[in-house]
Amino acid sequence: MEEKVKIQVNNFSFYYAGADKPALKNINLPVYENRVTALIGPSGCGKTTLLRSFNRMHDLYHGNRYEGEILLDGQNILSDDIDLIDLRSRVGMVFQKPTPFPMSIFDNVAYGLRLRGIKDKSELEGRVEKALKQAALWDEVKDRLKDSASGLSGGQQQRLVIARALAVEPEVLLFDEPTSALDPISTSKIEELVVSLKDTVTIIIVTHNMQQAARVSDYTAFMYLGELIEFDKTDIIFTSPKKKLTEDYVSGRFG
Amino acid sequence: MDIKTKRKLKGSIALILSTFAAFMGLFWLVFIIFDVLRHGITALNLELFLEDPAPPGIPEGGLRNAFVGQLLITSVATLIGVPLGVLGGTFIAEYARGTRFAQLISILSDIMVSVPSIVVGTFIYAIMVKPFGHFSGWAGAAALAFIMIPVVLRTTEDMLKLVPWTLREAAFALGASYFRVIKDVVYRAAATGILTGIILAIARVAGETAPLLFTSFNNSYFTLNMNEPIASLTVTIFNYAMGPYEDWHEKAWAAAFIITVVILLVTIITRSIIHWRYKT
Amino acid sequence: MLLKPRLEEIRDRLIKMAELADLMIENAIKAIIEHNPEYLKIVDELEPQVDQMEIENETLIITTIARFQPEAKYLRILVMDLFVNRDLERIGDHAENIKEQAERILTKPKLKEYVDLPVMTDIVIGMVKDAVKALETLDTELARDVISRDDKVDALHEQIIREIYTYMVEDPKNIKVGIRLITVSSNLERVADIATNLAEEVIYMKEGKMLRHQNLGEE
Repeated sequence: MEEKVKIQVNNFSFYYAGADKPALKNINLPVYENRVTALIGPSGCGKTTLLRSFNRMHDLYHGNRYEGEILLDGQNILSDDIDLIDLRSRVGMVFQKPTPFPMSIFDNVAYGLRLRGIKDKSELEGRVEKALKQAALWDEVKDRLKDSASGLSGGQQQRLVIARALAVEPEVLLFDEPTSALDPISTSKIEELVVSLKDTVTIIIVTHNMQQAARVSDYTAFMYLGELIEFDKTDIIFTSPKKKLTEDYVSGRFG
Repeated sequence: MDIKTKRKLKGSIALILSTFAAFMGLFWLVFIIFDVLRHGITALNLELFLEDPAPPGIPEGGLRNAFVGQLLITSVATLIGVPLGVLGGTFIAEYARGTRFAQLISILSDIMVSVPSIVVGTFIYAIMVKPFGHFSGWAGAAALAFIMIPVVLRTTEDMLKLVPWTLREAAFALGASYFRVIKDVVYRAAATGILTGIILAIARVAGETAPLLFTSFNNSYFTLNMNEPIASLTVTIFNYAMGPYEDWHEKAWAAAFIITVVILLVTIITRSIIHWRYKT
Repeated sequence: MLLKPRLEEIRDRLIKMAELADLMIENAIKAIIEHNPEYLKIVDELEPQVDQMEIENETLIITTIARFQPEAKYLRILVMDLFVNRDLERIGDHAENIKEQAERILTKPKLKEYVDLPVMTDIVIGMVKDAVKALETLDTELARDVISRDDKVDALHEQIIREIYTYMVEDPKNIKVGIRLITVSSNLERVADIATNLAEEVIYMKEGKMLRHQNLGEE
């Protein structure tokens, strides 16, 4: 199978404000287009830090520093002339806890579109419907789009947030432990959703839950203490990893 | 006595004491409100709202000047105090979050909240009355605004800080600017709290007398000119209650009744609006 | 349920593999019956395909177990899939054995018109086909039927041996071909045993009951 590289991370290091030691050390990693790439590793291994570099969330806090490059379609997103608003519409993000905005279901999904200046009512309606359908939420909410989003269940809220991210048609979607606050049934719905979305977007998912990475991803990157230990097809990482550290982690000997 | 009975006894004593304390508080509260209502209602009549005061001693006329004055001063104070308070709170909770400067403002606000209102009154007297040589509605409004700002600022700050940080990140992640994040997401999430803070602040200044004594003073005549001294309900209540005429006492009761009921109504209505708006 | 599509994929691949293994047997025997080496070419073509599939399926099944950590029913299915995969590959091996014998048999003139061999082949192929069908639909009824047909195959095998003995006794020149024909029949009989195994595996998948090394009557 021919794989196209969507994001290429080259010699990437990251320093949190005021820290001498890098939180991420010299990471090199490809992210393939229309594939699910999982970042796994024990707490504090830097997987979330890496994930949040892809849409430069670290820029929200002063003093954080990047080194090296992250190429999105060959363009370095760490360079100073990158428009963050533009970057974040190309690279969407879904967080650990559902983050519905305090507004109606419709307005939540339309938020990103309105930010981009789309005002036409029928266009908004069309794109909101499309996004909700993609997120497998449409049937559950189509009769109450005007209701507050806070009335949805946790799992529904998380799918709403996914729809909100999808509405602006991103190229890459980042998931930061998207099911850690959900029950098993909602979790398996989100997992199925993640897998079904890879036809339209490239997905990077951070998860504490190793089995989740095993279930949903095509590629897995195992990280430890800020370093990328091993990157390979998920099939290989979970059956015959090359590094002993990976083998020990995957077989539950630490972490 | 074994340990179990001891424990039970302690529990019962604590329960009895706290119940008693609650009823004590409630009793006086109900007593005051009831007393105000009882005296106030009998003194109510239409002239109270439609006529200006008659010369002292003549049991006629109303308090139109004081109602309008109160409304005017409070409105202007709100118009000045609320935006400044909300924006200031936004600044220290968002843009300057975590900086020493923000902490300093926060502490200063806390001090200002507890400054006796009469001090504020004399302060405004010194800078807005003395230099111009006369009392004015502007000075009264400024004094009330001065009291409102730290209250609104601190509630705004606290309420904004209660909004989970991830909610902001979620909006940032969609490509929103900080201004849009605050306007669209943070304010909405904190709206209930901020609004409550504003109402509380308005209710608080609506009951203030001391700062107005030094600033807007009083006026027996009807006026809309904020450059002149203006009558207010609270100062009027104070004057009339202290006055020698039975008729004045009645009018003071009526004014107290109105001010209490209005604050009560505003609070109730706001709460129901909030409840209705954010029902899930 | 992300596991379902993987299970379906595995099942589809196993069914496809079974078809190929069946085709190998069919053509190897056909070459003997019709005394035509052309059919053996098909067997040669299919053999590496079946071997390749076995390796691919095994990897797929093992990675599925590793990634989805299945329990109960799904664990049984996947473990049985692993057995079925190996069984099917062994059917291919037997076809390969038959083919090797056929190559030698075809160098000599036809010993006789075969009567029992085609009958036995039909039954064996039918057993494999039905065993796979039972696997596809988890039809334990059909699986039990497959198991019951094994006795008939054994009987036919005995019958063929006896008949060929008579030819060999009649004329020692027939011994060379005769022994090879008996080997062919033995291989077929082994395929029937494998089909029986498959059927037992289907029953395990569905019901969780181990039938191996038991007579159906004791059940």
